[in-house]
Amino acid sequence: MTRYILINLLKRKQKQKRITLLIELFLSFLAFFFIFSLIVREINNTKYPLGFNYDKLYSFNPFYIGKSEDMDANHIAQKELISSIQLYPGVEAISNYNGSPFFSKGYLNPSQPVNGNGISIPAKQINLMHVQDGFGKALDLKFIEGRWFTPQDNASNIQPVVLTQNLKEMMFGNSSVIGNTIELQGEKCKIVGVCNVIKHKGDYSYPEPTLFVRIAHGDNVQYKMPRGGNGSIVTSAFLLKSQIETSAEFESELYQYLKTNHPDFQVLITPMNETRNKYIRSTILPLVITLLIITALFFNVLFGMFGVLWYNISQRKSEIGLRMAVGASKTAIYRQFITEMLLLTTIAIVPGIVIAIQFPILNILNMEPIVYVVAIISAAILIYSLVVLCALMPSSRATKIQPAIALHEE
Amino acid sequence: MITLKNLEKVYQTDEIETVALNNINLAINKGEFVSVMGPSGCGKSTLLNMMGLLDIPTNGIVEIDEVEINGWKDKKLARFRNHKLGFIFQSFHLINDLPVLDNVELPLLYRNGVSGKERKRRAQEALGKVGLSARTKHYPGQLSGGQKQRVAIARAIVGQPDIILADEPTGNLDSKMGMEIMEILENLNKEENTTVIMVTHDEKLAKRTNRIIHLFDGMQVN
Repeated sequence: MTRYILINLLKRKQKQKRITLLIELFLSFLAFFFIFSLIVREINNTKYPLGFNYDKLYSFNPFYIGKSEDMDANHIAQKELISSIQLYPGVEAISNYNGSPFFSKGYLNPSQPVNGNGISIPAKQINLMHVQDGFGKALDLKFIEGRWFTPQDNASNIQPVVLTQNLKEMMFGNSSVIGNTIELQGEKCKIVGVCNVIKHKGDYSYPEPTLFVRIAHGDNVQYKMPRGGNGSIVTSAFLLKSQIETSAEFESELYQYLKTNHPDFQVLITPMNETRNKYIRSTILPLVITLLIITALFFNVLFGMFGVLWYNISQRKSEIGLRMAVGASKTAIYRQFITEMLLLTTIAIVPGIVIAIQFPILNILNMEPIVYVVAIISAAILIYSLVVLCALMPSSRATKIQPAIALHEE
Repeated sequence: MITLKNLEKVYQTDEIETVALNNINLAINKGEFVSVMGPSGCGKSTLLNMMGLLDIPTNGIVEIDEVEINGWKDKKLARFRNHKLGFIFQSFHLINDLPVLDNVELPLLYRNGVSGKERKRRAQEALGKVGLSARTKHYPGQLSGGQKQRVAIARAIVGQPDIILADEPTGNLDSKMGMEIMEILENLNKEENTTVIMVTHDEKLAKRTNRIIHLFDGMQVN
């Protein structure tokens, strides 16, 4: 019967009507696929742990507001400021870091691919972070093998790096990597540790393979703090970890202390949980808007398709009467219309699926393949359900009338 | 073969009640060729619909082969129509979107155990009987009125029914075409012993049948 219906669908004249319906189904599938990809990506990302604890973290941004133009004097003042904070009661760790900010969509990639073990990872797939020794402690990173940076690394003449577990697996698989080297922007770097993955861009972000590069300590360190009040942006930020959970009291005391002891600096201290809350709000809002769009789209497609199917089936009442006269039961009629619609939907969404499959193959939206698979399946289920829902009522009504009456409806 | 006892059909709307058939008692034997005549609106087509199980009587009994049909469920009625009855309509009722062969095989589609190949073979055979073997791939829109009615006859006979119910089968045709259709029906009746019940306005055609049933205002008058 299904074969008969398919052949008849293809043989039937009035192809224009069916083509219009096919285009509507095809476009709806692609729209649903795209929206589902975005939603599934956000949901899929929540399965990965954040990888660090933000309860005791602050982002700390100092701006130089002193009058001195003497770079050396500035340099000394900056180092004094950091040393002073390190000794401040309640501060557990402070680290300069140069990379994309926490709980933000910004990014910093290497300028060239990272090579190692005969594998080259494209630069855009790697999150690069230049950090100091206090960074690992501030984030409380867990080590799968090796260690975090220590002052002893100053003695090494080769740049030490730490990889997150996912980056290590991409380059080296499951083998041990401590002591191996990788090439970063033409420079050889030695792997000293492999730590857990982190989602520093936020809870709904993908845990990007991250490469930590050590900022050396000692006299050569340049913090590159921007001048305040001239519209400059923060190019170098600090991460500060307190011994207790973040509090307004700790913040205001630290402000007061710095104002008194380091008047040449203006500082911006932001608790990380506050940044995270802002991030969640800014992520949830587009998600809610997306859900509203999908709801509107759903009803638009629902009503559009319902109208088309109602019209199509009403136009075929005489045919329904005839089919009943020659021996079709109401169930058979019902089944025929539903099958016809399901077949039409299949014809419409097959090219849609072919297009959707290109997304993971060509890595168009830079998402995990599973996201696309779930999005394709969800979009297909939704379209099929919509079609069945829309075909049920008109075909049910059409079969309720007596064949003698249906036969008179032209 | 077909027995109608005290058959009544009333169409009820909010405002008016129309009695389409009133106290019809009728018996049609196997192999008979019966015509039903009467003025427009007298209930001829309604009577045919009752005998064809296409509509439900308000009162009375319909028996086919001594089996009372009243109260049968849709599925049983559908199977019964499929095996026992063949319909021919004045306006042909062909599916214009489908080619002739697909139109003809339609009743077999709803019959269990008939393969696609077998359906095609039998549809070809039925079209052969009405002289339209060469038109299988044509669409109804490409045929003349007489050819369309012959396709409808092929569709009616493809399932080898015992009874053919023809509702003014020549009503939309000129007299020459009408005669051709009548001859096909007569042949079916004589050669295959098919019972034929035909509604007609044409007295000449009616006279060629075994018996004429006259209706007037929903009642049998002879």
